[in-house]
Amino acid sequence: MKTLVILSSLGFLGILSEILNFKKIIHKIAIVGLLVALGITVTEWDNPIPMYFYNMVSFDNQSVAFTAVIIITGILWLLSSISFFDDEQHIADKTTLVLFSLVGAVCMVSYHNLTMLFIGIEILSICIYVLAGSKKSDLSSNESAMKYFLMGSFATGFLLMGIAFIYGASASFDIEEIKTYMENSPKNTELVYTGILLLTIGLSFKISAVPFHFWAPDVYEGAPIQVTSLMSTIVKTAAIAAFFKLFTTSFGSQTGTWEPTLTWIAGITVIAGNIIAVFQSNAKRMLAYSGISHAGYLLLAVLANNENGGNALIYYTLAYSISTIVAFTVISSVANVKGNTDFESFKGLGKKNPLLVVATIISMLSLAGIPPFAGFFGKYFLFESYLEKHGVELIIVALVGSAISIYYYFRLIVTMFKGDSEEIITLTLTAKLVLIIGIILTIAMGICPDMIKGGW
Amino acid sequence: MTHYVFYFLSFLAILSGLMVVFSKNPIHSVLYLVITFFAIAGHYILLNAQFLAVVHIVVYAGAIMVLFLYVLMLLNLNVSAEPVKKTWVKVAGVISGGMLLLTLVATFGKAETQPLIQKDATIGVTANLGKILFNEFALPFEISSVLLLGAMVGAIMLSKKEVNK
Repeated sequence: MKTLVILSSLGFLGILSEILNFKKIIHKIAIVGLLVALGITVTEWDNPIPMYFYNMVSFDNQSVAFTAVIIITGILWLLSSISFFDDEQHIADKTTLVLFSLVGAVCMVSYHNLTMLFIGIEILSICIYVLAGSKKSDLSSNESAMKYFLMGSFATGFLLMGIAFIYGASASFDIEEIKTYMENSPKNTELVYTGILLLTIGLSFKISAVPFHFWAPDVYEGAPIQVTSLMSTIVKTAAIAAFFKLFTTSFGSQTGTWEPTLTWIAGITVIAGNIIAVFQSNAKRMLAYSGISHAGYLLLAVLANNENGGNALIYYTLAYSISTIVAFTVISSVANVKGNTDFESFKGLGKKNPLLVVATIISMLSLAGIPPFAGFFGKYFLFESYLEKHGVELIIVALVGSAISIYYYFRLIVTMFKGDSEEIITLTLTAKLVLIIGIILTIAMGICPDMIKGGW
Repeated sequence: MTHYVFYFLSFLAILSGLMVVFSKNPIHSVLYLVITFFAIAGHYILLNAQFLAVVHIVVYAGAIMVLFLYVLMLLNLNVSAEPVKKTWVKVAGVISGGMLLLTLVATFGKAETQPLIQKDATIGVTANLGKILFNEFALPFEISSVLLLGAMVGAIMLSKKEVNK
């Protein structure tokens, strides 16, 4: 709860910095503030009374862990994206929007009432819509913002209607009360089924699962590269955490209704995302499709429908977010010099840029799920929790997907060693810092996975 | 008596809702949308939600529709220049939309609902709404201010004039 207050006040400070004219240091203030928020989040671990404000939000251990993942990602993102803030005119606006989107994300992982879920999703989405269009002179950025806005509002409509159906059946917005209602042989099951269907559509859109993914590649490609990195880490983490919490808590006893649908969605997402990613010639678009395929893996945790699934999800989202931020830092550093993100631009960079290459190799191997890096254990824990209740069919599909993904992740690495180029990509100090922190965390999480997954 | 009012309002809402989609001229669409909003506000009054009905008219029919009309007139969009969509997109849209409609109709056909107003006649009265908004729902109410602030900052950022360097 304190985290929510701190993040909101930081955002407010961002607005004040424009008026009181200290906007040159607002970026640093935001980083320090997030570090403080991270510290305070950690102290809320094992909170004796996790409920606040008439059970509107609950900061139990799972929410605290997801909040910590979001804030860590936020800090790394702020460090890696200094170039996004170098335009002096908009620095305060952009910082404020990013901080407010973190408020929305924290609401989405800690909600205990569907109204909070809805408001959290709206806060997050509206800030990201604007950020996606923040490069005002660039047509593709405008297109991306417009597309995201229209599609996102449409999906929110489905979500809201689903909430209304569930309320109509159970007469409550509280997820525990809905759970009690579901477990005691509910009346009006038709309303429940349709409500779950609509909620599945709305939330699948937010995590960009196939077949609700059509917006993702265009939006990811058009938006400024740092915003793409924000969308594929924090937005995805918050959305899958909300998905997991709602489906395992409230609808955990109604698996017959949503399990077959979600199983198909997860399988198709993994396969389609990976296959289409193979044919991309642009690194940014490749990462967009790889993000889609990762949404499929994340859905395994929802299907696992047990506590281990939640633990695995926390580990996986952290590993995925760190690797993705490292990958995007590399891509944006290259794009700064070469002006685009095609694979061609990466040719021959391997010879003279040791840090860049090591970071690329480790983040790609981690995303592909190769031991001993964090991504491998993320996938392993997800599969393990899924197998507690289910057969191996979907796991085989997921493994085939992983095998395909190795091809395109390696293609980026191989491209870096092809051809001769003496070019040196200059990295800013903070970019170097992010790459080094990312490399260390990815290896450390892979070597001792119990560090994060120690359980509670 | 209320039954007839209900059916009349529903007929009006659905008819004008269809006209919003089918009319060629965007200005007409907006005007039909106003009628839809008034019909829905009538439904709110039938459900004993006076506050919601008034807010619905003031905010939607008043503010948002005026905004729509302004934008349409400023951008001069009243020339119908809809892009032609591919046939398979239309077919896919009709099939999936029709299936959703079927699901919704079947759902409502089977649902056993009991109007809350029969249990408690004061439900939905503005005083009760205010009490619940500032007690149980205080946090969502307050956190919506972050949403509004975010939207405001975003609007200002997008509309701010760029200084040429």
